[in-house]
Amino acid sequence: MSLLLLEKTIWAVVAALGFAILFTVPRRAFWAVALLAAVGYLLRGLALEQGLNLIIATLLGSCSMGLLSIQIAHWVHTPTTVFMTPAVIPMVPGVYAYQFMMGLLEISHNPDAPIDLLTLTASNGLKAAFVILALALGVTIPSLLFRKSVKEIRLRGRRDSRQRTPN
Amino acid sequence: MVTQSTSIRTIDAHKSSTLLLDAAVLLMASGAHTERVNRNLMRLAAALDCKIELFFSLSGITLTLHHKSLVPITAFRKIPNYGVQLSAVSAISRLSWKAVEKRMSFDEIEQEIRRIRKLPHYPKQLVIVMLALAGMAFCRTSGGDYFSMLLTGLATGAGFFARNVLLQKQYILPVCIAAASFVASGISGLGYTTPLVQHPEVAVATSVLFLIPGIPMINSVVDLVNGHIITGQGRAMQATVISMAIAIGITLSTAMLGVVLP
Repeated sequence: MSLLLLEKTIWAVVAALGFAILFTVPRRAFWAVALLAAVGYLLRGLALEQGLNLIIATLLGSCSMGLLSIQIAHWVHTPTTVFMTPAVIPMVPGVYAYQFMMGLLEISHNPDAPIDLLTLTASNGLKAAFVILALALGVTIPSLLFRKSVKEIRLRGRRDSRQRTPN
Repeated sequence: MVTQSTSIRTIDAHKSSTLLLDAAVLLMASGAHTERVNRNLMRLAAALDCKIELFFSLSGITLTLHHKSLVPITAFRKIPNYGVQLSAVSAISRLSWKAVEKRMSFDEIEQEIRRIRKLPHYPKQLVIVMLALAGMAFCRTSGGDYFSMLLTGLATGAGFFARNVLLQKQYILPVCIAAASFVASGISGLGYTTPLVQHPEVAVATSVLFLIPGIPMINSVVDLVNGHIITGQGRAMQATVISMAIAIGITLSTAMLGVVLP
């Protein structure tokens, strides 16, 4: 683990907190946003250092965040999406999206664009799309794995028994 | 006697449907994904002792309410405008649990929803400062140097300010986004003029990141996965339109800088 990665992780936390304020996340969930952003970004950075590709690394980071968020939701009494959404924002592939767009513009200007430009642009665009898909998957993991929360099942049981015994 | 009690119950059912639609519209507008709205509404309906079925589209919600032996009521409500406020999402989720567990009365729930609708945003100055910091952070994580970071922070702050001013004058969202992106990328594009800024392209790319429609993008995938195809596609289009607006702003500012600068 390099010092640069640690520094970038701190900046990722700052970015996540900035967006938490923009999205009006309740104050009690701020530590969750910071923790999840740090965990996700650090894991992704480590995976990239080990030579995994960006999409798989992002999937690893976001899914770990998703699993961790299930427990945190009970601690801060807040639905997972509320603190997961700002926490994944630092991993949004802004530069790839930008390069994809600039590539498209350049192709539109230049009718005999080199084939390298075409493949590079397509690769940037697809990378951006798949990274966003990986992030969204991480955010949905709690609701994908646990369709009904424990609390809901308990509640339903209580309601059923209430109906069965006429008071 | 019988007709009177029936009419009272009909009024009750109408009031319940209004309240549930209030909650649904507030949730959708504040940035909850569709399945979350659906689940919260089912819980609230259970607390109000009725059964509901919902149909979601991006511009409005249709609700059919079955209340004991009455004829079902169907009501529709438009979603006026989207503005992300996750504190409202969290508050309604907590309310829906509390309503079922503590058997809250209709009036209590109504009062709580009225309170949630007035939940404050964070102060504007704080948001601008934090977003500028976030912009700098993006620049750093994308591999920028410290001078690019400074430029990006400045550009993000100015762009966000422009967006707020235009939104307050009630221009439509894409116009505000395009203008904000023009301001932000115009300022960060100045980095091309000085050798001090080593990565001007990173500065330009990250200075408009605060405009990226992160919530529609993520919610779109979440909705599609959960089978809410119509809202999922709608949100994806929303995100595309906003991204196009960002692109227009950057294109204009690059063209302008290309003309102004030697």
